[in-house]
Amino acid sequence: MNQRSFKQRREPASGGGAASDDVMEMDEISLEQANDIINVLQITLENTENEVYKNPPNTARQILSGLNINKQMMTHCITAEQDPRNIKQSCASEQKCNYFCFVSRMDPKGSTPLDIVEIIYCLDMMQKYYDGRKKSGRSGRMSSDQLFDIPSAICNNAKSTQKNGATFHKIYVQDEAITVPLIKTILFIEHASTGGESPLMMFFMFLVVEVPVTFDFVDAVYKSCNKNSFGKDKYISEEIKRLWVNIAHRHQTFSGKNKNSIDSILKIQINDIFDPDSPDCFWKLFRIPRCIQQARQHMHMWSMDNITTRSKITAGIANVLINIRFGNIDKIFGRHCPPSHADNVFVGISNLCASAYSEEFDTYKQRVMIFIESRNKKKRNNEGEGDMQMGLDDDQQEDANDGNEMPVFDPPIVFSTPTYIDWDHEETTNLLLSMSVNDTIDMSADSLDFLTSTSKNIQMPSRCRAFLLQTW
Amino acid sequence: MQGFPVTNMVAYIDPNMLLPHSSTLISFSEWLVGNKDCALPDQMTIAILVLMHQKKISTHPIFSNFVDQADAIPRNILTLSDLHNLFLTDTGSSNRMMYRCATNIRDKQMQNIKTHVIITQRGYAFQYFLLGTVYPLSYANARADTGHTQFEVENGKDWGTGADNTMAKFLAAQSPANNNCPDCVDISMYAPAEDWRGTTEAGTWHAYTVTYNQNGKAHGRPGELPIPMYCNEMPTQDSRSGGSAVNIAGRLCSLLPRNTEVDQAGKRTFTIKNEKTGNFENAEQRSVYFFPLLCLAQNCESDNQLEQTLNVV
Repeated sequence: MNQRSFKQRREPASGGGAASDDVMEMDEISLEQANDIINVLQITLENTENEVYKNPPNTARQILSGLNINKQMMTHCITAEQDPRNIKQSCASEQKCNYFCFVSRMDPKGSTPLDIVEIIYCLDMMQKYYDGRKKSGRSGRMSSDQLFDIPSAICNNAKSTQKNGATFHKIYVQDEAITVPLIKTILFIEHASTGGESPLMMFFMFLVVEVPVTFDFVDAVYKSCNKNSFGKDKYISEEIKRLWVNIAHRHQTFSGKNKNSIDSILKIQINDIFDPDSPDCFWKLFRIPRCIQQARQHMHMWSMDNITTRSKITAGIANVLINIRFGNIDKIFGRHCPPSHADNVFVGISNLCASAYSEEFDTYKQRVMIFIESRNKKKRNNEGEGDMQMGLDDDQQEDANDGNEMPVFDPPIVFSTPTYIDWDHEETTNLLLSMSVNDTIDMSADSLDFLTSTSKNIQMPSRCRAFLLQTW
Repeated sequence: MQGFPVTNMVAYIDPNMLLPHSSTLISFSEWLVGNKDCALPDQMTIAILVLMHQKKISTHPIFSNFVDQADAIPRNILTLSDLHNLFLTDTGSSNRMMYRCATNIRDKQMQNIKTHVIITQRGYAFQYFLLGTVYPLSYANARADTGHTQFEVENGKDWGTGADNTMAKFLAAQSPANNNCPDCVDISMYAPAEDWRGTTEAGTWHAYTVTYNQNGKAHGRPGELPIPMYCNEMPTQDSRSGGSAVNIAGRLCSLLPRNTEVDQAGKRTFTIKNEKTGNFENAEQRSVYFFPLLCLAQNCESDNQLEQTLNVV
């Protein structure tokens, strides 16, 4: 009797697993057996088509079972990736998208840090603002207070187009247009430890944001919290502004480095974040190498505090003893070079790249503005010439615009943190070894030269080229 | 330089699932309510907890054994639209009980009780676990089941019909006499089930618990109920490490539904008053329980949430 009860109890407990199990079992059942089973089920499935050509649709349950997705891996907006090897990210040299990154320390309970929640909120509001502005019918390329989308870029023939009030950012891969989502956000959770048998440990959450190269992410953020509004909208706008200031301030001081003077603690306001010459501007602060370095230094600081308060070990000695490692991020370095030294170099490279990018972008923006003004002027002059250009879309108008074409953006590559290092590559190894021997000299400029020359001078099939680029 | 170095734990945020779906801007506090603090999926938080506790980080994917993989999506999900609607209507994992999925947590919970350092607290914890969680849920199920009787044990009597019948058989199902109680346990002291029909959850505890004084003599019925200390009320921080480490079992237990009464059970030894001397003397309480059977003795056919809860218990 108990067995009966047990079976009945287990039945609902197997729940959703039953479907996936059934699917697996079906794979092993022959067609004849399947027919027999169908008969037992008292279902008729008359088939007049040649099933060879069928492309059977899968139910959501089957798809999710195949991906090993279940309820415990989802909340409303967050879905865990069962196998992180499935994560697809493009190489920096491919320039298919731009990466930004945010970081925060996790509490021991594993809850999402408030910092990250605030960032998700701000990004959500930014996207709402962006979509709303676009749908209002005001095109973003006309004046400086409106959103700017890059019309076209050299890399992957990227372009932004407008249809039905919405903006689409596209790239072309093998002559096929691919629409890049405005924002793709991925959470990476990584542990840092002091190493050994019983290490101090800390978890960090990195929020990586992928945006199209034709989308001015930083400007959209700025405008989302500086919009002209009244009443509640104004209040919300001010709140978003305050949150961005807090986010930036936390990122600046996360490592403890900026706390050396009262000045650096107190001075921050919204416009500082968007000052391209500041070392803590948006373009430089929210980058992958910077966040990794910040997290490592934060853990270092915390470990120092832990050890020096629990013992009489001096800060100087503790500083020498502590060596923070990331479980996955540092794997590529092996034992060839100290990750903390590598951090310095890649942050330097990232800063240089970010500066170059924002500078190039500003120049390009100016060129587009001048072009648009010139085009409008010509349009006005030609108004008397009839409606010859009516009915043409933007691209056709550009073609018809006396040969003056819309400027094309050629963004510099924004190098980031290495995800693979070929230690058999001589130049790479030499550079990293010299870096590990002497970390006092800023080698980021040399490293950037090396990377740039590697990416531009080598004429090889794209596959080989990509491989060499990944030596970093 | 392919984006961010891939780590062991990765999750996607779907911006389209963030609420509200309207294009108007809303305040942060309103947004937080709608999006439930962007809590991570249970599997991730549990994995983080375990890793923090073990301090030995595996290089392998870690969503493996904590929670049963496939039984979390309702069976009526056939299309992605169904799934989408489920997310929008469901209360989310942050405040849901972990139906059916917490076998390992249950084990941890029991392990925690069994290994509690202070013997008095250990006893209290377990007794109150029975009294405060197991019995009420069992009773609730039994009362809710007016249809098919699940408790078909060696009960020769016919005790009415419907809920009365079910309850009667449930009581009989718990009786030590009907459960191959080992000979070494003297069950003569415990009341036969039919003697306490209509009793309450607390009555069940009284019926199955006998107090012995220092001389090993039975002292009537238990003098007091155990101090309210639910099994999930374990400290989540390990005080020995200055609060920096997590008490993993405590944290796991805290994921279960909380019925908080007090943080700590008393540490004093259970005593009874000696009427002759007026002194309070040490005493011993012995409870008979049938935990596995209680798990089985549940309402399986109705779609009662208590069923799942008891399954967790």
